[in-house]
Amino acid sequence: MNHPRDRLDEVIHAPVRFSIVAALAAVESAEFRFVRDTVEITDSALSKQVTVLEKAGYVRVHKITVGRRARTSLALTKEGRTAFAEHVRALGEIASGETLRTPDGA
Amino acid sequence: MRQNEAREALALARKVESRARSGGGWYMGFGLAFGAASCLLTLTIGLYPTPWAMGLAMGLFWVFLAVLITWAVTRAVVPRGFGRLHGVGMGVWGLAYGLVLLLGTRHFPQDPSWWVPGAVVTALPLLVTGYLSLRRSRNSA
Repeated sequence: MNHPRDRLDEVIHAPVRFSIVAALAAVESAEFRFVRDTVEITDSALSKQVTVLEKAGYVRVHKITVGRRARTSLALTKEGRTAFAEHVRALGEIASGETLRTPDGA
Repeated sequence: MRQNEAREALALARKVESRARSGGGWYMGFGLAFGAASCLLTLTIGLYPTPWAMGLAMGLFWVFLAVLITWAVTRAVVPRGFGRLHGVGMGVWGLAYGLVLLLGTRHFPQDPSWWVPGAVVTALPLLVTGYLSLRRSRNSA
């Protein structure tokens, strides 16, 4: 049987990456510092996780200069949005117990 | 993954999404400011159609618009669906502004009964898109 947990996305599943993707899913794009503050992590931790998401093709990084300030903007790609939606759907099925119950409740 | 873990993950997602979405609330302020400027510009052009008054109003409007756009592009969040929403808002504004000016200058010169409601009409498009964006930013996913 196809258990919803098999449809959980391995890249998004990690808690910090899940939060980053959730934050980006709610907006068109957001500045690096805004995502950092929203997810409550450090610059280096966000940078590391964004690299993983970028390599997976889920996040697009855009660097622009406005006046004297260099700004880094993050956005989910179409693939990233689809993967997150599918991941959340699978979580919803697990949470609602719409699946086969195993002895350990997993 | 257990049921309670999935529930916790979903609750976390909702919390983070809500926090991120609220960052796009600035667009309501943009809509209010643009609407007010458009309203004043239309009233000045319609009720005081002298070259100096129109020139002053147009000049101030463009300066204000430049400041407003600079402020907007430095916001940390671009709300979901912003491009389409703002594009439609500006398109409707252009149409409304053009019609109010065209009909007003031809048929209702300096007539407050045309220019006051007309000015309000030009303020509405971005007020509506700002409100829609704000409502979207307050609703959960």
